[in-house]
Amino acid sequence: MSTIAPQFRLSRFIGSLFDLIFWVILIFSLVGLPIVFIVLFYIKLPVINGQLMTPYLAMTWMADPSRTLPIVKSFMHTTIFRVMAFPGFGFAALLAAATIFVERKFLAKMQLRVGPLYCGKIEGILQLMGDGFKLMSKEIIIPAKADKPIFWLGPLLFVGTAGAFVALIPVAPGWVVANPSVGLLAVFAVIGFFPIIAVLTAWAANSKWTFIGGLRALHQMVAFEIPLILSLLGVVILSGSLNLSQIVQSQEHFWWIAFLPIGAIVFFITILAELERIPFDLPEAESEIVAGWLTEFSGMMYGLIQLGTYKIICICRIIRGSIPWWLEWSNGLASVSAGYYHSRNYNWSCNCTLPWIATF
Amino acid sequence: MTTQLPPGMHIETVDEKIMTLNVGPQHPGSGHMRLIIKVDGDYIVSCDPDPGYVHRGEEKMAEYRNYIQNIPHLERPVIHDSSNILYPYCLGVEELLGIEVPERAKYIRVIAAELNRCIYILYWLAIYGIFLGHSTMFMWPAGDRELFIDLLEAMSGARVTHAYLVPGGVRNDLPSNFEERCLRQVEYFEKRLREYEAIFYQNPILKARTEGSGILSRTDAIRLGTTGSVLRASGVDFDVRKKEPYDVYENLDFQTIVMKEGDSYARSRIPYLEMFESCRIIKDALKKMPKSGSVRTKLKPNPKGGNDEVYRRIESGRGAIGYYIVSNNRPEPYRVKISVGSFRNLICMPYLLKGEKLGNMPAVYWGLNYWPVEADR
Repeated sequence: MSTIAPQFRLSRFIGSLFDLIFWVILIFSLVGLPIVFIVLFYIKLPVINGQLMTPYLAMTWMADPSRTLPIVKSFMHTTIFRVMAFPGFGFAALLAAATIFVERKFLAKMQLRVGPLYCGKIEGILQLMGDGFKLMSKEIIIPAKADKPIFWLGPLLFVGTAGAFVALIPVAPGWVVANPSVGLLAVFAVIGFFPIIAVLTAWAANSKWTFIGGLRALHQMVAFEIPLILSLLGVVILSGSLNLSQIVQSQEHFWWIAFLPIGAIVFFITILAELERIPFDLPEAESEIVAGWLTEFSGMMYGLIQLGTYKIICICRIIRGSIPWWLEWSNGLASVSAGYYHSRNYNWSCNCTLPWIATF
Repeated sequence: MTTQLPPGMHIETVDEKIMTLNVGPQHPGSGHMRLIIKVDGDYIVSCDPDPGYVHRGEEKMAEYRNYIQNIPHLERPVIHDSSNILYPYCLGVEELLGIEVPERAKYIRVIAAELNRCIYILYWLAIYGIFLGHSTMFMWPAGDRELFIDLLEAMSGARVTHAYLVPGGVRNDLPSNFEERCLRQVEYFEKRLREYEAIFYQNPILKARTEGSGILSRTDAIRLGTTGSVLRASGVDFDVRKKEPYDVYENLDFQTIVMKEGDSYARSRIPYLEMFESCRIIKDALKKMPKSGSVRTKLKPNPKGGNDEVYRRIESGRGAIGYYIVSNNRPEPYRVKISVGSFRNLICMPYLLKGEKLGNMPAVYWGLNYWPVEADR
């Protein structure tokens, strides 16, 4: 029903706009302003650089860069910033987006795809945005017989659990949200959540395809968890600690990967299986069981799960990159280059490793 | 008694262990058809193909149009292989009306048919690749098809539905310097084909998935009446182009590809190897073709066939396509019956899928070189 109503009148349309403005002003002055004053009355305003930060002062500081800097600096040391921005949720989401971008670009180069190479004139930067907008603009369809609360919860749980990983990652000395003494065990514990989420959502969607896919996902994830844990235990023995920060510190001068090449390979393969990537995409085999346990998800619900998957990819490559082997503290950002290596998993099935390395 | 009912109409007995899956018609792996598959865990217990979703009544339509008007709609079942599905119709009508085809037109027809065969096989290969999770093999053949599509566009003026073959020859002569261009593109394509071998057919994952899945023995292949690449993959040396040569195929240098394994891998490999033979045929035909001359025998306006019937068949990308045409002294054919390879190969699907894993279903299904639209006609 996208046609204009037959009795459309411009005057009535403008009248409705004024009506809207009136209501916004009324509600803001009657409800919004009192709330602001009540909050300001109860909250203790912070003192920054010897000045009480009233809202008015904050506004003036926004306009003055020399005064903004201390605010930003003080904000950067709060826990909220660590959880939300760096190295928390926002940073991981950015890294995930970068991974998708790089992966799609390399795939496009190999497979003669046009979009990711040229979309947006400059190296296909608009492709990612286009994909995102497409997913957001799509309708979210919930099956009639689905168990709706759990079905809604599935994607959120998936992204949330993937974000929980980030809390454990030591990016640089001091830059870690949670630093438990058994950090590696915590990583395994978080990984153990994903099969449960997969089975829950598969069961809640009440469809045969999700059922088969969910069971396949459960079997595959649980089966590959054991070699995954075993492949990392060598590092624990060598470094003598389960704390991720201490593991990184222990290889300040020497990387354990030199002693544990088999472990590294096993880790790489099992992570592919954990993430259901090609060639371990049995739970999502689209030509047999549509999309496995993701069949009934549409629009942004599917997008959230994809974001979560790529987030785990990033985190796993950081775990592989900066924690057990390969890189040191200061090379936190260089783990992005490890991500290049990781995104090759797609093309592992293509027997084309050498030209691939040649591309970069 | 229940076997007499049409597929999907049975009263289903509920078993706690057996689950019925409707693969299609709205399923990414089905095409325009439905497979009613019963699975016990991950193993297929039975498979019941249910085609007919895109039936368009081509045979009935042909009875209301005269011999020339029939051309554009008869190519609709397989628009990727339009020259090949028109070929037997033209041969049959020529036999009915007693038309002699010029020598040059015969060669041009063979070239068009082989180019179209490559287009079809590349399209099929793209789908086969993506169904086995190999997305590179989806993009490469889909891109390389353009080579042949451009050539046929230069020949006929249309990119997909060419309607190039007509009773009495071909619609128009080749454009100037077509020979050079065709040779250059075909030679480039042969180089590309060798890359397919490395990236797809030698891939260990593909081999692990397709080798030994859906084995069709030689006797079964003959007994079930299969044709085309399915028949040749089971070790039967049968190609209409060799056994009953039409037009100028007997003068041309090529060979039939036969494999003995009879599994999905062999069935997928034979069309690929046939593309090399197609390239050989095209190059040979370009060499032996008369350089000038008429390409079309003029027909009388509204030609009438006698009280006669004719059956002609050719080898298409999916197997033998046969036309049975009956005429009764009128400008329209009395009856046109089309026998297509896709429909004949579909019958072995229940035999092949029984006892297979569900994961092997796409490999077996698309290995049959099946085109649902053609099967429904």
